[in-house]
Amino acid sequence: MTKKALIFLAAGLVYLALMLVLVPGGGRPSDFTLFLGRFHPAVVHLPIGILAIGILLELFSRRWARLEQSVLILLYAGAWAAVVAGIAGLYLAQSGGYDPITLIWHKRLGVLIAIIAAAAFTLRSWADIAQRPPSLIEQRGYLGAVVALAVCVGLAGHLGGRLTHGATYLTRYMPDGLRSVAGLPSKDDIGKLRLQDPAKTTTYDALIAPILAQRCATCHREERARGGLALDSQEALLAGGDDGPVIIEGRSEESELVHRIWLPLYADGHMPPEGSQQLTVAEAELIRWWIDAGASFEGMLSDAETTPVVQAILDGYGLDEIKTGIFALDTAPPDSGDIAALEALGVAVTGLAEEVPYVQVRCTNLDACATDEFAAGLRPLARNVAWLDLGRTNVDDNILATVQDLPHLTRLYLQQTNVTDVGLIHLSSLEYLEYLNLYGTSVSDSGLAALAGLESLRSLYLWQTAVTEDGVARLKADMPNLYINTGLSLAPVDTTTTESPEESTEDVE
Amino acid sequence: MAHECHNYRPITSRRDFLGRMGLGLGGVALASLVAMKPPPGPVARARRIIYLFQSGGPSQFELFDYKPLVNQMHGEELPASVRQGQRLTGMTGFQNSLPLARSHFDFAQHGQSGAWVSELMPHVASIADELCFVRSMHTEAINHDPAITFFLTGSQIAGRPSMGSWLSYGLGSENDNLPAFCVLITKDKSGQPLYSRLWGNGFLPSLHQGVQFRSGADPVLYLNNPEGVSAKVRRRMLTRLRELHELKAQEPGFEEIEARIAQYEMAYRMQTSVPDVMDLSDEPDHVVNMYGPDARNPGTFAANCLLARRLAECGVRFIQLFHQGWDHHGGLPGGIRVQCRETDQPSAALVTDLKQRGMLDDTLVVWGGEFGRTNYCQGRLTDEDYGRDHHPRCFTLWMAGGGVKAGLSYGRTDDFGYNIVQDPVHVHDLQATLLHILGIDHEKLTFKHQGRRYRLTDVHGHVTRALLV
Repeated sequence: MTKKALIFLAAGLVYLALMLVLVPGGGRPSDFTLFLGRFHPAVVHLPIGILAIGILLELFSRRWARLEQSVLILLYAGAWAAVVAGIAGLYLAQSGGYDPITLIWHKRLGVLIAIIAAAAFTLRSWADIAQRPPSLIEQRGYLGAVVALAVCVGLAGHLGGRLTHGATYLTRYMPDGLRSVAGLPSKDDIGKLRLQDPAKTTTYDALIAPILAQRCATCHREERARGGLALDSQEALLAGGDDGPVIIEGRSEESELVHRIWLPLYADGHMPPEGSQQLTVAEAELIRWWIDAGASFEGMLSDAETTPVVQAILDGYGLDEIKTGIFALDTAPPDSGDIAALEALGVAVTGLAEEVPYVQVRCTNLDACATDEFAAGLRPLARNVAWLDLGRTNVDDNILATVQDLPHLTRLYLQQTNVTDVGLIHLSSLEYLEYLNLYGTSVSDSGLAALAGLESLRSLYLWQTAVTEDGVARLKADMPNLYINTGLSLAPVDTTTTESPEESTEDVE
Repeated sequence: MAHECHNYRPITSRRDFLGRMGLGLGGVALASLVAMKPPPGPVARARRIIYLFQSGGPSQFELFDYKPLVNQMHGEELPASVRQGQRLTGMTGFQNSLPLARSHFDFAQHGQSGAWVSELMPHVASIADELCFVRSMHTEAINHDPAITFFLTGSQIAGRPSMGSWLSYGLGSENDNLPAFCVLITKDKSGQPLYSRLWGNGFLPSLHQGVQFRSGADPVLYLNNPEGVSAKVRRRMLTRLRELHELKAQEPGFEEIEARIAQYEMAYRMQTSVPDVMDLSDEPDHVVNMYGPDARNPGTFAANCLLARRLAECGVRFIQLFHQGWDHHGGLPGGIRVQCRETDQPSAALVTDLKQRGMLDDTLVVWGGEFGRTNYCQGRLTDEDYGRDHHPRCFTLWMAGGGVKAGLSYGRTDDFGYNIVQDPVHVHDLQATLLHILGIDHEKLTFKHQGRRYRLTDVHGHVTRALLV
């Protein structure tokens, strides 16, 4: 009886092992194959449960020897269950769409479990069949097999869960403390696009590459290019697959990549294949938009022209929240008492936006800002003042000694004031200063030298100052990105065409 | 939070508003940071708006929206497939024929941006690279009164606060000596009437209503103390009046008296601030001349543009110019020529002057009317003369400065210039965008009145981000 049982089991194992080795991946499996394959999740828990109890009883049998027979039965039944689950599993695997690395190890472990369970059963029962006491090798081998079985069942089960539910299923709701130990990002950041400055990030890197990496590259990457197509690098993306290019710049409707994604899920050729994780509508739309816009790998996100739909998607991704310059800094909000104190001096203080800690400050009369009280009142708000308008007031170089301690200043208005070249030296520390208005002051070329190090400076107004063309040219040479305005005039135009001999201004209602 | 309270209590002064909000917009942030993170709001790009309102509906076909097909099909009937049965006014609705009328004036592309501008606007054309043209504006109203009321208050029905009042309410003044919202109207013009509700405060505290300057040499009357009344006497009189007002203000139901007190004080301060603003003696000739020959003639559009710049320099939040006379139902070529001669150079000069003062970075200039005009002719179409009826479905408006994209032509109308085919911008969208530019979320600037929160954009409007830098 036992011999016969062993022969049957061996046949099952051979069939399973041959399937593992011989059944190729790829191609479209028959419906009947898939029908059988889908029993895998239903039967796969049988070997796990049976073998787990078997291993448990093996432990207890050290104490209660009468359990030994039960262990044998469980090992035999577990081995058969593993064979059946394995066969179903190998059919299921042909439907494709699983992460290949995880899948291959899951397959191998599954087959290995059936083999080890059968081996353990054999080692344990062979001596009985031969009617002799078990040899030391058999005893050691049996112990080793049981331990290996425990390890393999655990691993294969884990990989199976990973294939079905995804790699992050287990850790998705892990407490943040544990997550950081495991080197995972905070729960709140899961699935969020991590975007830096949109002016320094290309649309491709920020939006498109992550989608392709997540949804396509498990099958379409350089090492494993299904259909000859890899989607994990620019060159490969442009090169296309066995059937030609997948992207036609500017024409999403003719691009195979878009065509496949938008095919109905049941249609032949739909990608990603049925059963694997699909692109969200938003992701599919972003890819279409990117290709229609020319499929550029260089275009900066900040320059991208959005459609209303894409804008809505980007808003959802929190692109609005991308912060640059001072807005990327962690600055404490201003104290309302300090603001009230400053306003009491005759100064208008207004928030720059609802959720940012920065304010704009404007003098509302000639002298309010030329006082020591103003300088003192500004100090508690030093980190909060982003725009400071001292224009058309009686301030002089003294105030600039305070201004230099406003580290987050982006716009500074000093037009028509008494500031001079001497005062400008104080401004050299303002690393975020983008706008400086000095028109109608006595600054000259020598003062401009102090501005040469202001890397953020983009606009400089110098109309009606002592600055010369040479001075402007020198500064411009140092700071090519700086717009310098030294006064404008309206170009003379030929107005004769707008003159008319008859001048009727007849308005009829 | 206090401002969530449903009791009707008008905010009577900016200080009060700030007190309730914590600190204007900053205070909202303070309060919200503690509770929960609000969705991101706009960051201010500009501090003020100069709105050059062209009342009557300037014709986009003669100014900014170049339509070669209409020129080709001159005299042919407007195809029904283009009109699609859309409503016409009573003025042309009964016309037997709706012949397409070509522009009497030539167009050319200007600047590096290649914006199309007609020969009527040579100065505006010369600064085309500074401008952001929106060729796809559309509105809901087809007649002047509802259309201009809609444009400036967000509702076709009178009674809502105007755009400038909302801004005054939301941002307050940057100059205690001048109103936050000033209105300048070109003198000696006729056409569609203008009325004070276009700069009215509606249900907002009356402190926020626009202050209309008279068109002429004396924009504010009675600035000088009368004979025998010294500045000291005037001050004592006002102080005593204020005390009486404050007594009354303590009684329930008289909150508006706070606004009255503030306005008396403002009027007193304007006795000195307004003459300062009006005094052009410190303006160099070459600057005045830039605005054109009318600039020294008070009350003209040119003089008002110059005055607008001076008010902007003083920190006035919203300066609204009105220029009437664009309602060219007939005699369009002659009429629009005059209108353009009056507005072209000053408008361009204002943008240029603001730019050289570094003010274009934080001042938004807007130029446009309440709707557009039809591609077909109203009345008799001759080679030399024609007219155009009201057309709300598309029109052009331009902006400059204030963080909008310079050199952009946004939106597109069809080849007939009848419908919008790309990127429409509704009036509410524009209003939302203007508020956004000044750092206000149009959905959050609300005022509770008669049991309901109101906003400039009612329940509509999307910020047209494509216009912004």
